[in-house]
Amino acid sequence: MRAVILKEIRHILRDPISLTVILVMPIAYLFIFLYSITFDIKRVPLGVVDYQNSSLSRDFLNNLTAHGCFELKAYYPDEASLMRDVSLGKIKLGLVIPQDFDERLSAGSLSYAGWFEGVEGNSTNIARGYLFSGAAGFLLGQAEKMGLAPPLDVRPRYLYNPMLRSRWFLAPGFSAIILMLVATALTALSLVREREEGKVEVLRTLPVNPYAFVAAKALPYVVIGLVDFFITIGMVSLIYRVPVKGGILSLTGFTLLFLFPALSLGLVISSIARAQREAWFLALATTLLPSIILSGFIFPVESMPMWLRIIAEAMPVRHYLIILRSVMIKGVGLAELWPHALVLGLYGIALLAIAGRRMRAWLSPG
Amino acid sequence: MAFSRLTSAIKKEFALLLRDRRLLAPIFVIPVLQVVILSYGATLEIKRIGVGVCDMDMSSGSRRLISAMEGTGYFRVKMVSDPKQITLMLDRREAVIGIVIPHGFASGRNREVQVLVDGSNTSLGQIALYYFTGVIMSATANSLPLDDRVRVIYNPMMKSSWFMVPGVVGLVLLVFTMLLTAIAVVKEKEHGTLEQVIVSPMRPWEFVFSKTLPFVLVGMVQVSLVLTIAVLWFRIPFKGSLFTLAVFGLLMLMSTLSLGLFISVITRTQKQAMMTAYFIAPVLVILSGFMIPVENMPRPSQIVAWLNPITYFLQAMRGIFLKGWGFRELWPQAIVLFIYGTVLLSISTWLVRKRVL
Repeated sequence: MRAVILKEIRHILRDPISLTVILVMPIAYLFIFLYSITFDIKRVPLGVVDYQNSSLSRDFLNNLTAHGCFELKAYYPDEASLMRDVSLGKIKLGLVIPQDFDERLSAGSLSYAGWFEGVEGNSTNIARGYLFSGAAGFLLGQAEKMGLAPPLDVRPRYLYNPMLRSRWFLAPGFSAIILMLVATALTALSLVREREEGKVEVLRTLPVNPYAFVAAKALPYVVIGLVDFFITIGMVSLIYRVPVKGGILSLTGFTLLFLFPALSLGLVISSIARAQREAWFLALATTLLPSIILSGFIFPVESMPMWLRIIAEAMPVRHYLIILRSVMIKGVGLAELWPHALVLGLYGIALLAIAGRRMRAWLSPG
Repeated sequence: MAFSRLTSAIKKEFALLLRDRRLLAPIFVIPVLQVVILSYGATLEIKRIGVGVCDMDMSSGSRRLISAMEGTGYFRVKMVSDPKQITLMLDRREAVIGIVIPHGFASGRNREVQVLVDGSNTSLGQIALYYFTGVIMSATANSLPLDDRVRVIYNPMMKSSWFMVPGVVGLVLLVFTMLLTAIAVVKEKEHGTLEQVIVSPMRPWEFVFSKTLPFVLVGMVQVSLVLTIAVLWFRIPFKGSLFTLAVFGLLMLMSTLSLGLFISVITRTQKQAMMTAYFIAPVLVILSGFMIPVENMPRPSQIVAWLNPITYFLQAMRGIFLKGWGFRELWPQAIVLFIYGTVLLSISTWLVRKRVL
């Protein structure tokens, strides 16, 4: 068993490109992605046709741009020219203020029309929310000025992440996905390589326990996974100042638990595939897109169709992401998260058993 | 002579590709999977989102509000008796937002509705809050006199899939043609069959051409597959012309095939080639505006994105799919891609001649 572990370590160290991928990839990815991707939607380009052109209509526009959500790019003389720039995407929100804006406002109603260039649905949805709440805020302010009681007052308070920084939301997601990619991709090639190189025959002649062999193959990668985890968490908390409220110790424990199914999944792929290329495609198909889309990283799993939810819940990275986010941002621990931890543990056992069985089939002659 | 030499080399590459049954399956299954997962999964609309409600008013007015919330289908309401329990529900992820309806809500004495939002999931929390505000505004008698007639064009339901699936065309072309080209050349290195190519009278461009042509066709088949499923099954609008799409596909292939050739120049084994491709692809994809638009990125990332040929291809795809654009609007993107394609292809062919052959 020790020989197998040592051999695998030597193999990792000998290949400079694998080593680069193991150590540089998490850093580069985390840096690039966390820096580039943000859901903080600011300075949405706004174009306006103001048929009223009064102090009230300008007040309304100022109110929209005051918080930095919208940035007034230009005034347009008519709707056709505004529409053209909206369709080109130069302007994201084209707002048309009607001629009787003041008149209607004094009657207590706020009215405007226009278009959102909605090609990208998410940011449009959020920007529409900004417009809506900006308009509601303006209206309430007007009502107050006129001495009317505000009709209704919805007071939101954001727990855990009061400034609503999207990095706090994205950082645990990226950490989980990167760890999943590294862990599965590395182990996916480990067993199939032996088979491609024809070493299985040699193994057959030796007294090897297939389960112990598979476990020994995975062990060096546990260390690599942990190193990658510390690198990513270190970057996330030191450079991007994302808190780890639940403590690093609890996080490390959960991560070890997650590495178990993640590495085992790679081993299962490796034991199914006949060639490295095939293992590679299988790893790609089972990790990359599913872990981005189905993990709840950005898109809520609860809103997906039932069959897809079942698949999503069946993915280890989904549970790990929930754990990571809860421990880091909410600061909760095992008391709240034990169901997810249990799922990860059971998965690990099941996947490792499958890989071991496949391995035993290889080793038995004939 | 040169022509028959070329055709036999091409025939050989096709035979190799078609023989590799276990490689053919992922080539066609993975793009389909990507479209299916994205179309069903990539949505920020909310359905059955957990909401904790603490009704301190217990009036017909507050009950009307709660049933209005349930009626929308967005929310799954769970009643609690103590406002403190709402925080606990958010801790355990049983709810995304929690609402406290104050005593005297219906009678109008207290109109201050407290909403606790799970800020650890920023986008979901904000959207849930926005939906709730909409419900409460229309459910209460003195609703806001807000006459908002802003329409969302091109993607009225604001579906992420409409934004991302046209991008899948680019993703698939990039990942597969880059990877397959790199593997095809590196395999010859690994098996030591390159010497035969070197001693044969084959010219470098002929070698590159015959190596890449099968993958041009693979790419075209993949694009057709993605297009068919996206349009017929998921009803994603395709307003432009197939001809424009095909031209852009070919322009894009010039760049992605060259990237594959670059990888084959710098790597020695299939494993290294795959690792390198695996490492590069996500960076190129993210920094092309596949997930979030380039305009929403910080300035330095934007600069990198504008240097990335895929950015221009994705712009073209979204224009063709959702806006029905043709060359009249997309000629700048076409020119950029053409320049990239020619330059990259010339350099990579030259490199292959110098370093590989």
